[in-house]
Amino acid sequence: MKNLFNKLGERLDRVSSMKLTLLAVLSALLVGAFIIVISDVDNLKNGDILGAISTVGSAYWALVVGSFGSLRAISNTINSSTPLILCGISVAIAFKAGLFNIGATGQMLAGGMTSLWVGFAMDGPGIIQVPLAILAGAIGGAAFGAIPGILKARTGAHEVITTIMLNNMAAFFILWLLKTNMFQREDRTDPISKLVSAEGRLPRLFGFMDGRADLVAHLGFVVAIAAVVVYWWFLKKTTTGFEFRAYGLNADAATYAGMHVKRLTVLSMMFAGGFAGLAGAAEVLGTYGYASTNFAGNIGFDAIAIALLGQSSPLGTLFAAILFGALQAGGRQMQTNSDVPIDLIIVLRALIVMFIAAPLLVKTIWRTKNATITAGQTFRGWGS
Amino acid sequence: MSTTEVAAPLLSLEQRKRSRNVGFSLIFLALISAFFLSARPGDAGFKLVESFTLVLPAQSFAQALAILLGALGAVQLYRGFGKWTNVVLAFATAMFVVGFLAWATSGGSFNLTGMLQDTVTRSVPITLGAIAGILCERSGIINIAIEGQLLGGAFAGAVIGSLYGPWAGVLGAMAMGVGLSALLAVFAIRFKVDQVIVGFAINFFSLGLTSFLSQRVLTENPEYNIVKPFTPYAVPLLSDIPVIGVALFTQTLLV
Amino acid sequence: MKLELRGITKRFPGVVANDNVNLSLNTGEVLSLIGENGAGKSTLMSVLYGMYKPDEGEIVIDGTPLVFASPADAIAAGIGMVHQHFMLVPVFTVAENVVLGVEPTGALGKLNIDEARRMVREISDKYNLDLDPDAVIEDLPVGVQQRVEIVKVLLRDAKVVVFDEPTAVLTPSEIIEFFQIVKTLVSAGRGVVFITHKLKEALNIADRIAVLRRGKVVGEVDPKAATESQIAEMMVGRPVQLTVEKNSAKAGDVVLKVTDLTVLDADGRTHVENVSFEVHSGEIVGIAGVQGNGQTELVEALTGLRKATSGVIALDGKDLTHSDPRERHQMGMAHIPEDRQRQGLVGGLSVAENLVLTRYHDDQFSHGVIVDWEAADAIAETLITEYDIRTPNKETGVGTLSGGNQQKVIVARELSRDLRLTIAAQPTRGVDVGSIEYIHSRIVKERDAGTAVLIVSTELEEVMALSDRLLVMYRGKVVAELDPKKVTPMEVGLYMAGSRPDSAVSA
Repeated sequence: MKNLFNKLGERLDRVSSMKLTLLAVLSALLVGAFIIVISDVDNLKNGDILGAISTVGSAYWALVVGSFGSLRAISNTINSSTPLILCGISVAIAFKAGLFNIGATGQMLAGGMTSLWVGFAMDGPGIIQVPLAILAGAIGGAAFGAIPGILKARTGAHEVITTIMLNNMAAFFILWLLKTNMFQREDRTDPISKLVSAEGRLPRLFGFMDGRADLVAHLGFVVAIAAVVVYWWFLKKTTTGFEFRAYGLNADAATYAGMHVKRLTVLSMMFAGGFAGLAGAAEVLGTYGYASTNFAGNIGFDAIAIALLGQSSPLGTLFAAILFGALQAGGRQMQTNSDVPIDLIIVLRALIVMFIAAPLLVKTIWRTKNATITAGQTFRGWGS
Repeated sequence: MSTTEVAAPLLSLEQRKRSRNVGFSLIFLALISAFFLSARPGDAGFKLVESFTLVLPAQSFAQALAILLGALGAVQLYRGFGKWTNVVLAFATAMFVVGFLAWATSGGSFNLTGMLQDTVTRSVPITLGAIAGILCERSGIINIAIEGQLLGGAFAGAVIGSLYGPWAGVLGAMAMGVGLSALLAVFAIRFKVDQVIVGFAINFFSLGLTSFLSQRVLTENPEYNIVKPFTPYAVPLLSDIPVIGVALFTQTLLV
Repeated sequence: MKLELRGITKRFPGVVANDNVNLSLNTGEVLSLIGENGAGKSTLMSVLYGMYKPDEGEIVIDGTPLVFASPADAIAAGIGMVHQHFMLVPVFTVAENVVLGVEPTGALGKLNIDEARRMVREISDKYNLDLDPDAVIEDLPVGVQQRVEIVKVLLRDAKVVVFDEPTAVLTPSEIIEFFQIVKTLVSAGRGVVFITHKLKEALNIADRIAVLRRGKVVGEVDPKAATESQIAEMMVGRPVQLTVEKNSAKAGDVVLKVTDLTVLDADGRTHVENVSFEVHSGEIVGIAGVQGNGQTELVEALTGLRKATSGVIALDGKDLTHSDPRERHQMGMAHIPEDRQRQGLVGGLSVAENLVLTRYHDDQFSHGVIVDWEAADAIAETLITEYDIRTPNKETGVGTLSGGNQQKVIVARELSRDLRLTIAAQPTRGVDVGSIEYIHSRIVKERDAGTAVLIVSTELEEVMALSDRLLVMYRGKVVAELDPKKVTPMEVGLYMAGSRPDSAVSA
């Protein structure tokens, strides 16, 4: 009997990471359900427990329908996922090198503005303008990401602090830029930018289907997938990727091995910024076609959750980002259908992160034995 | 751990760096004074007490300020102020703020006393949060979740305060803060999650939960969200000190 | 008091750390526990100290089985542990450290520091430990810090004191003082368990010796009758050569020339002061000294990990003083670091990846930006076989290997290149006896092939056995250059402690 259990444990070991992730998501959904029920004040006042539980049902069903239940839902999920994938990689690649990039929001803003400029400064042909604009986005993000990298390499300033502050600076700088003559739309007084020329927009994925203008998914998704592939290739196959991995796991050993760690610090933040900049380009050139004050939202923090969920691996980050994108797309549906505010999504995300980061907890709840624990720091802490 | 020591230098590397940074900061402030703050002509009126309003010419003040700060910065870089560095820094910052205010209100006037009073009131949450952070740092814990705890406490305070009065609200807020940090502790210690990650997660959890509950429960039931706030209370005698007295001592009990 | 471990078994995923271990100890005797790294000594002591719960078996004290849920229970039962790495707060005083956790408090919980100081003085006098309760830890020498740990343990009324590798950081004379303390403890009715890998010391001080191998107790020996080779054979499972076999050196040209090297740190403290020496090809130069006298900083300056403040480091005549580590690698310098886990290896990467950690950028393994993992894997397989690195396969994380095998990975990586100079710092620290033998023989082989070798070690025996010429460092200076064949360990010990054999009054 003991042998059987041990064998089962070993089986679980192998799939354990995947299994733990699923169990974590499940646990988060359960807690979310609980929150929905106990906050259903109307039904509870009437002692209508069944009614409260059915709210959960309709809420979660709406989530599913809203994210994958129709072509339109899938299209929405694709669009929501695109910036999440790119920013997720941004954070992930920094994590791999041992740095905590909280500045994905600011880098996305920077990249968005540079790609925007190419977007309205040029007028086609699309085959040149679109790649150029995307490239501009990457460059803008990379340049902005280089700032905390250089600060850290030169002065040791911790990137957690510099990136958060730079986020704020970027947001207000954008606000100012959008009121300058160069960027502001001619007939407006509010901070909103000129429109990207039609040739510069990212083509829609479902453009071939006539009459379905509601399918807004755009090429940005392809860029995001390509980014995942590039990320994988970079980590596995290049010398610099190897250096990132070594440096992220053990900075002292990297120095001993002769790696130029200062350069690695700057490079990793630049690459991270570049990916986030691509996200900005995708949103500006694809989803909106212009920029207003906060097209990046709070994506930086979502990106962190995604990178953690996916353990900074290329495939893991991709799936985590799609999950979050689905939650976002479905969440709007949920709010419409069942009156459950979309803020529940924020709670769900937080719960997922907590459960993912606490494999011991999930183990305890679900009584999986022998699951492998990935302990240890995700990034280098303060002053160490 | 070497056991040999050369004659110990007067300042450690850390201290030298810091004093250099202070010097540069002073020069930086001086430059801002020179170029930005002296841009607006006009007089700024600082209303101190009912009867007396101090009038400062914004432009000249800013220019004088620039010269003063520049001088201080130069001295700091050259030889440093030693023990007096912090005092000088505080003085310089205070003067800079005055200059900034003069620039902002040039051509008009405003109630300095009231502003000071307001400043103190607004600084309370920041101070309390900072104290929380210091306590944690001292015992080696990284508490990113302070914002989440603040938010949770605010929410709990509002709801419980509406139901049971302001004092209960204070207790409720404290309980919520404790509860959230207990969550942080359990996850970090028992389940060995990285403290920064749990901190972020709790921030989001708190943000999401409060917004969610706010929308779901409070908009439907506004009676859960009306608190009778504390009224400012004037400490006898002390609050009669002009300017500062009112700012510091005519405040709510929480301050 | 009689302490018994009966049938203790502790399993971790994939390995049985302790397998049905039976040991007993009476107060008033010294038991020495000997075993390689990975034999299970540390796990066993963690079980005894309440940090782990045994899967099977029990701890029995005076006939009563006890269960320890945490170290607090173990302490309450009278078990005290002095760890290898001291658990002291450097900025606190002796008294503050000793009472940390069991603070005497007055009204309203205020710390009664006078009571704490009185308690420290009382125990210190009773056991001849000679401690000043108000001294600050970071100002004290290591031997004295160890005594603070001992007082901590005695304050909590330990009946059994477990020492984990206590002499690793002590000078020869401090070691003699330490043995005195052990004798005092024993005559005061305590029991002592003494974990070590130093066979000579165990034979010296223990009343009984138990040998652990792969989680099992393979035997107990009587120190009065046993020999070192006997015990070593029990530890490893086969006959082990304990002495280094080497022919005399055939020294050639100067390879490494260090002139007036001085290393100061950012705060101005001197770590290395005006050090000059040479290493010729085909010779082994050893640097002896107690940990903390500048050897670490010297090696860091030589390998490019720390900036030299002044002086010249020249390899084959080329000035390397300001080159970065990679340049020095490419000029033929190899470095076996003293802290293999912190510097030499990246724990999260595989064995294969670590085997190319310092070589991935060579043309052999990379084309431009791309890494040729096939070539790297091929080399990895070769090295694993050649150096007998025990690992399930080359993809295993290097962090799961035993200390000795990890060190073999580093040695394999560094010595398989074409070298002019090898710098080995503490090459066999924490390494099992079998691997020590192997590493020593490879170092000698390297020397015989014409490489210049510089060894820095705090293990006096090792450095005296391996070196052709011996330097001693004290407080950042080279205070002696000796012929290892002509001096005794005690004489070297005196140099290490800062005195000279002729001027010292024999104590």
